[in-house]
Amino acid sequence: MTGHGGSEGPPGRRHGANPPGALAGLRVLDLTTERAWLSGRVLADLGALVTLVEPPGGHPARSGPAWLAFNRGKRSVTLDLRRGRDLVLRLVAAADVVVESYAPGTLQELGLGHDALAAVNPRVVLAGVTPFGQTGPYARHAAGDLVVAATGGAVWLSGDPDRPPVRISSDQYFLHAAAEAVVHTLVAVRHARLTGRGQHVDVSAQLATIRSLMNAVPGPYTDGSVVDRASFGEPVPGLPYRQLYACRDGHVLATVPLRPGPEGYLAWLRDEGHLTPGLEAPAEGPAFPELLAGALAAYFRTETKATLTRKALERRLMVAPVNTVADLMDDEQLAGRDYFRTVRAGGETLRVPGTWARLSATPLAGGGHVAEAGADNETVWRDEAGLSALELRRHRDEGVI
Amino acid sequence: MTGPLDGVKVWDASWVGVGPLTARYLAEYGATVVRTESLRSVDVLRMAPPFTARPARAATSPASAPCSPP
Repeated sequence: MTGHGGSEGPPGRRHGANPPGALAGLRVLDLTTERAWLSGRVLADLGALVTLVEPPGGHPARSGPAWLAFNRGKRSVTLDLRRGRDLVLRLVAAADVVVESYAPGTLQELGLGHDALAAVNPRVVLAGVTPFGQTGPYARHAAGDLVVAATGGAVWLSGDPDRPPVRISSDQYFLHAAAEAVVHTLVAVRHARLTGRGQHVDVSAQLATIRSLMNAVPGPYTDGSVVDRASFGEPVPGLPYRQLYACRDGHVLATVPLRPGPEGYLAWLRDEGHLTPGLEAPAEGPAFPELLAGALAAYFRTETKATLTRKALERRLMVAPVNTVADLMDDEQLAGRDYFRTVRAGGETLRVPGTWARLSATPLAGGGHVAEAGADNETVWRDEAGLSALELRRHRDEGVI
Repeated sequence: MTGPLDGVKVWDASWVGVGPLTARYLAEYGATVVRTESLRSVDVLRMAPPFTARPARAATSPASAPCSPP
């Protein structure tokens, strides 16, 4: 089985002229829900042949923007998992990786747990992305992104220190988990190639959240330090401080670093005619941070995000525009990196986010192709899973495919 | 310790958080990670909590950056 049925080659390759990806030849069966669509997308970007399994008739979320973001570059087959166990196992037999994100126990109930998959393919790696992992007292907890963020400590650390904690505005902790799943899955694939044995990769979104908290976590059991909500930080003499400032068309963030210190900001204020008398003395007294912040606030108010960003770039100062999503579409850095791509979907040409890294020898695919639901049914079920035309028609008629 | 990345050798020339975390993943799977640091431009996280009170302990585990989560 080559897996490249049809004459156009696998989808997800742009123009067919690119060299094969780093994971060319890796076959991935994507059984994920929206929580871990990203896993298959990353593997597809890296060159794997990713086959997404959707319910017959297509996934209900197909019409949303997340579908384009996470499911382009994948092949699509349709299957009712509850009635098509044997068909899944046929695909598993030829797969290197199966990724899923159902609630713990769901695949076992369908007779598709790791043992069942290993029985037809001992080398297969099964990766499961769940809120809390497959085991433990929270394993069956009703959980969405906010539950994961809260139990993982991320909510506590977000917001202003003198106010209750807040939620980070877009769901992201399952994305951390889905990316984490790719890392561990690829290590497991290497192990399987060395030993002939696959394994179950159990990824907890709560743990992925904790991974994202950096040195907040080791503090309590090392030197006893506790990281609290710091927001942008208070100006404290002798420490780097960060602050949000209003400008003409929005906000900028400015960081005054410990080293090289505030000199660059003072020179900028001087050049712009905004250096206040209290800042002219070189000594940093206790009132200095507040004076500097006040002068910056008065100056920044007179400029736009774009102007401040350009000037900060020239002066190598840590001033950043607080970009809106619309700003991102016009961001010169993203344009300079050729970030946005166009994809064809449902007869439309859309501008979409591109790849997340550059690989010099094996460029990421970027996934220009959005497969229609079941677009690859013929290729996969007949040519790869070995169904006869008659069987395929029967499964279709019965609503299994 | 044995792991899937046994025999893989990694030069970790990174500092602060992101790079060391990357190398930490590799070390967890058995790669031999050698981290180089500058004495002149000391990694800022050696000066930051946690571990500020215990510099000697941090100095004995150079392959595992003090900022790396468990």
